[in-house]
Amino acid sequence: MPPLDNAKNNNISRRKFLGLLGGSALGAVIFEACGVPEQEYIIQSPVDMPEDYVKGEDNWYATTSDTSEHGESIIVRIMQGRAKKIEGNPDFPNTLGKHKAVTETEIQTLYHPDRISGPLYRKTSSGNHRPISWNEAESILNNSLSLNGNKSIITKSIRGMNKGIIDEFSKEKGLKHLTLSSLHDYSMYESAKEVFGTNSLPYFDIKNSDLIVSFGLDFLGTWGPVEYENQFGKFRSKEHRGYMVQIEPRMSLTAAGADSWLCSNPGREGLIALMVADQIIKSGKGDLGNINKFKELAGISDINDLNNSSANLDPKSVGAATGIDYHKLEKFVEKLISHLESNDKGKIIFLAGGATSGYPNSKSINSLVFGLNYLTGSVNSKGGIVLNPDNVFDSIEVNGVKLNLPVSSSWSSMNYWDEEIQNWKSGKQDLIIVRGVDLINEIPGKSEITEAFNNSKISIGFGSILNDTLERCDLILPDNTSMQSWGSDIPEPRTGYQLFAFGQPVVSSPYTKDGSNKLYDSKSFFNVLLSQMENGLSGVKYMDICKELANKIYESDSYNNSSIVASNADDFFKGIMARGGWWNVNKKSSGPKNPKINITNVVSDVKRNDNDFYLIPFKSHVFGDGNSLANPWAQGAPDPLTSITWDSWVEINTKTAQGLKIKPGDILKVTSNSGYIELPAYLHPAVPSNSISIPIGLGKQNFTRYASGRGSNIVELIDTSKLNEDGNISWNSTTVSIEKTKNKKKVSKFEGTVPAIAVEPGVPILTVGPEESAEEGFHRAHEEHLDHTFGDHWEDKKHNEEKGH
Amino acid sequence: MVAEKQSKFKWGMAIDIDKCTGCQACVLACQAENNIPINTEDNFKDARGIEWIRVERYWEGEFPDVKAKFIPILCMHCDNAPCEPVCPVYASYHTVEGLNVQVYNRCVGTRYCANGCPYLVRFFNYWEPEWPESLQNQLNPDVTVRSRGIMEKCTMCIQRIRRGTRKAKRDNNEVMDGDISPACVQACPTEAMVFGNQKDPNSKINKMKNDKRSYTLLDHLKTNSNVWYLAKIDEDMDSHHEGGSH
Amino acid sequence: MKKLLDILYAPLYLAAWIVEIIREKDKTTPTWLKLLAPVLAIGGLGIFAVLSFIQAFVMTAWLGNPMPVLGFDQSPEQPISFPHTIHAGVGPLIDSNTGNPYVSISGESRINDDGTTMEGLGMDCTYCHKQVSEEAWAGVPPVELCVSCHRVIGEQSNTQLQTLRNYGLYEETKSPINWERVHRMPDHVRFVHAPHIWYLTENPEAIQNKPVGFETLSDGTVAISQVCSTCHGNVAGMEQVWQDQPLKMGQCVACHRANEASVGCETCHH
Repeated sequence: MPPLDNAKNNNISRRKFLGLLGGSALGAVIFEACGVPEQEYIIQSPVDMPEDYVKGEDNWYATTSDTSEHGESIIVRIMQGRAKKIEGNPDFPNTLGKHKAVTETEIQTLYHPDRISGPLYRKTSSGNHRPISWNEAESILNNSLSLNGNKSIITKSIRGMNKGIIDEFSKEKGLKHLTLSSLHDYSMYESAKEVFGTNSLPYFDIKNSDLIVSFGLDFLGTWGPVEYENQFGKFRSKEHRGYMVQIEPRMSLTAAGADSWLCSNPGREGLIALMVADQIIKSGKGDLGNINKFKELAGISDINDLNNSSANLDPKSVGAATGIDYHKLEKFVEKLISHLESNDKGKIIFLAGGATSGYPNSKSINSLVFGLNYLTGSVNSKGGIVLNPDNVFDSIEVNGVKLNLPVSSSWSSMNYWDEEIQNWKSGKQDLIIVRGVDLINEIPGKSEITEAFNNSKISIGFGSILNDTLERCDLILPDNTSMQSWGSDIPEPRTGYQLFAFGQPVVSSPYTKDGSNKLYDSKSFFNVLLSQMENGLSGVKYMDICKELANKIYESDSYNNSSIVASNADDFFKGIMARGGWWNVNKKSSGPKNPKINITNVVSDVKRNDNDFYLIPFKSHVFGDGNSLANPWAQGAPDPLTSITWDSWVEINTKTAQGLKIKPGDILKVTSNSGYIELPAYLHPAVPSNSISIPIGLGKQNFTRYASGRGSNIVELIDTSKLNEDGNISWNSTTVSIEKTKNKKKVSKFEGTVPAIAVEPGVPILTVGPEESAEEGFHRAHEEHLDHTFGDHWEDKKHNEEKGH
Repeated sequence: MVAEKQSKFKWGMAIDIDKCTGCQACVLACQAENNIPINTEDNFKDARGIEWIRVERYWEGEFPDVKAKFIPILCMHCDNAPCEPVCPVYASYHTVEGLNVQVYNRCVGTRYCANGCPYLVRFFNYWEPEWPESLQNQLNPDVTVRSRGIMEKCTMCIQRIRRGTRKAKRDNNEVMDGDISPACVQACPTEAMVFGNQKDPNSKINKMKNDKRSYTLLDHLKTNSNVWYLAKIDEDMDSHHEGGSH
Repeated sequence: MKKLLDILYAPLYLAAWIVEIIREKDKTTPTWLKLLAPVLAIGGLGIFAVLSFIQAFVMTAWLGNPMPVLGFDQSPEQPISFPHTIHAGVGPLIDSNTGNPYVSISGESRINDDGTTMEGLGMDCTYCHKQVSEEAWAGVPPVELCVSCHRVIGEQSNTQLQTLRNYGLYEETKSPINWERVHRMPDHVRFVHAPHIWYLTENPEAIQNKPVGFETLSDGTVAISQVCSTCHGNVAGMEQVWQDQPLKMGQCVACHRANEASVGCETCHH
């Protein structure tokens, strides 16, 4: 890390002062007397938050979260106009006062030392950027929008009002809207919507479920609102402790938290799902109506109709085909059937996503797994899949312009992207606007993308922090973070009822320490877009639209018995801002509309040569897709399973590595059809011997002082030759070969920096059986330890000793 | 000791490991709340990262029967704290409310306490903590920034405790269970961590510490820790293991 | 008296002595040896002076505020010379020490054009320092609050007010004022204003340095602005604020003991 700015305001610190005086009593006396100040961090307010005037207390304000793709609401502690701490909004249904580790880092984006300080522009693509004023910048933007060629706008996947505004903007200016995010679960979203006959992702009622069978969905880790983690806590502490089975090829945090992790060969999970269906039907314990419903929706008369593999559906054959010990599968089936027998039939929930979205047959497998919920009668019931109703309205009219409010995230398939990139290459592209997406690092084939991107006549980037993509834009416009701007979202998944999230600016722009200059001269992305509009939205601010939306809700039927009671629309809007959003728990879904289970290809085979490995890319829980890595907290927080910080790594099975003479920290060259990267090895006991895992999001060339050039970018390895059924990249279908290089590296990690505080030698964490107490657990652990140490002789020895006394 | 008996509070924490997913939310919440210096790459390499609360991960078994188990470890605020008697300048101090706190002004950096602590939850500032100017806006003014040469450790967010108790006192209210929570407890997504007053008979912490699954770390050292852990449950534990007979 | 004069004239005597040594015709002893005694004497005197100064500094610092040297100024200059006298003072602005009207930083007496003494506005402390009864810090208001009055009040020619208006009124020049901190705590001490205000307003007998015109309300409590002087002195009489009380730990602990407040280390050191 480069040396940090010397931030000291004061000339001399207490300790230095004592040091100068040799730590003598005289020093202590003088120090005591003079009150030499410490580094002064309590600086006075540059800001005019109205509540600061009136109440004078430090306040927690609600707004939306930038790092969340689910529309989570946060509260921010504001003192004298500065943000101090982020916490989950305790009022809001999808956070319940909790937050993920990555959410906390948003505050460091807000105050990032390398945040873009003002608009930057370069005339030629080889020139240097120079600072310009916002007036100049906006006129360049205006000119670029009036160009005649192809024009595109690229964002993260968005919903609700944001999508409505972008669509309206694109329509008027003739732009094409594309979205992008790495390792996404859209395939799962689409399947779920189809299977459950609903227009947005349903809500998973984890808390009230008794048995969760998750096919790859990492809802305790990188996917889902934080509320699902909260629900998991309740799922565990119920009177009947919930049981969870996770089926996926890599141990995610969810697999680590599950009671049972079934590690299947990639692409073969579908067989397990089929086996589940087969066993439920064969057992005769399932409800006949449910079974018929499932068969009807799937359009089959027998489960075997769906089986496109050569394996039978008994646990033994499925075990052989998936690489799972069949005893485990038998036990799993036993568990399932026993749950079916109990009276609470709706309390088994089948989830899909994560790994399963990354196979060529993603749609079939996700549909099948979600379809299983029909078999157990878990659809639209407590403890199962709770469908979301339509929101209050699907569009609103503002100044005569109709704005759509889609409830589900928009996404662009890789097919669509391929077409787009061909366009760029052909030189017909006049304008690319990109916001919040590092597309150069996120789409496989970096050099091709870079070249295509540079081909555009002009490229405009919105963002807070310079990354590889922004750096290549001709015009760089500093964007507000969500803490500085108005916001609106329709969370997906919603919590089973009508729900809107709203955000507000809670901090003003920070100033330099002496108060003379603003540190960042940024504007809100949507306001900049709106200022370019010429129809009814011309001159309208984002806040006005938020207000209009609130008014419409206030006037609608849904207002009655909703979360906010107000005497007029103005108070209603204030209420929304105070609580972070609006919801009406009484407005629920009536049930599936035209559900379909479309299954064509349950089992796919990822072909692998004998010495090759499956490559399973994943998002680390602490930095997600990598866009938070500019923040030192995200870098410095250990990855939960490997405890590695500040670097990327390749996870390889401990025994396999030993066989290949690979030691921790050895630099491995990982080669796929598409390219190769080099990164240090982490010996991981929970990686299957036939696969390796690498976190996504690192390896960015230019990404602030904290993240530039750290690690390697796994996207370069991804095989894009085969897209999946939804036209997306099959993230989990790449095979790679590994080769040990001569280099070694000491990897920065938390593991090994403190010795274990063991309960017994070899027992670091006390684990008890379902009915066991801690004391009994200790006793057992002790016996086991002695047993382990002295082997079979222990009993004899004890016996002899007793005799001897 | 007399004063301790008179105090209305004795703080404690209970952590249900069965619910801990190892997500690190507590770790970052603590760093944000308590002005903990940025842990750089080199800090971790030198084993000198400062994490008042840390999540330790242990592997058990071998593939495919491998389990990853997590345990958050923070200062145990021992009633019989090994760090206290060894400090030559009385910087390691026990409050009447049962907290073990470090009086930074007294600390001269002998590091005896860190050597004495069996839980390894005391951290020494080997360097002057520094932040780039803009990031200083985030620093919490309720908590001091420790300087070089000072030992620091978990305070159970004493600033939050004091804020909570003084607001209750002003409004003539009792401090209710759950009113005060340290940053880590507040953040914990699965609510695995619970903080409360042990002198309040109805508090959640009392229920949890009396749970049959509860235990304290290194109990045999008789440190009388004030942080209880609830053992992880393994539903599939072989039946012949139960009851500890073999 | 004679002896005292002798000490004062010591440097002169020394100079005379040295001149005498140099003029002396005695060649048996080298000049440097002859000069040794007076040089040692001068050095000794110098060391004595430095030590006395350090001692004086330490003594003043130990007993109260240190001598205002080496940056230990108790009254730093502010970017805008905000006079607490005019804003917070009550009645004619007369310095009780001298009996004359207060003198502003720029040297003008607080006298109206008609020759009468200016009168203070008597604004309540909490008008600007709003957070004091709720939070740890008293709070300095945003510039917007200043200009809410000074948009109209005050002459256009007043450069200080013009600066203030620039900071608070116009979008292009808007920026916070970088006030110099006057009261500083030693390292690792956190002082929280609110509970002190709560206690002192309800227990007026604990208030020290009571301000002029101190009055108790009918229910036995006092207004918030009556308690500040305990630690801050008579701020209403300061043209440029200085730290009035030494605010040593001894002072804190004495007051805490007297009022049976907590004296645990963790109360302030965290």
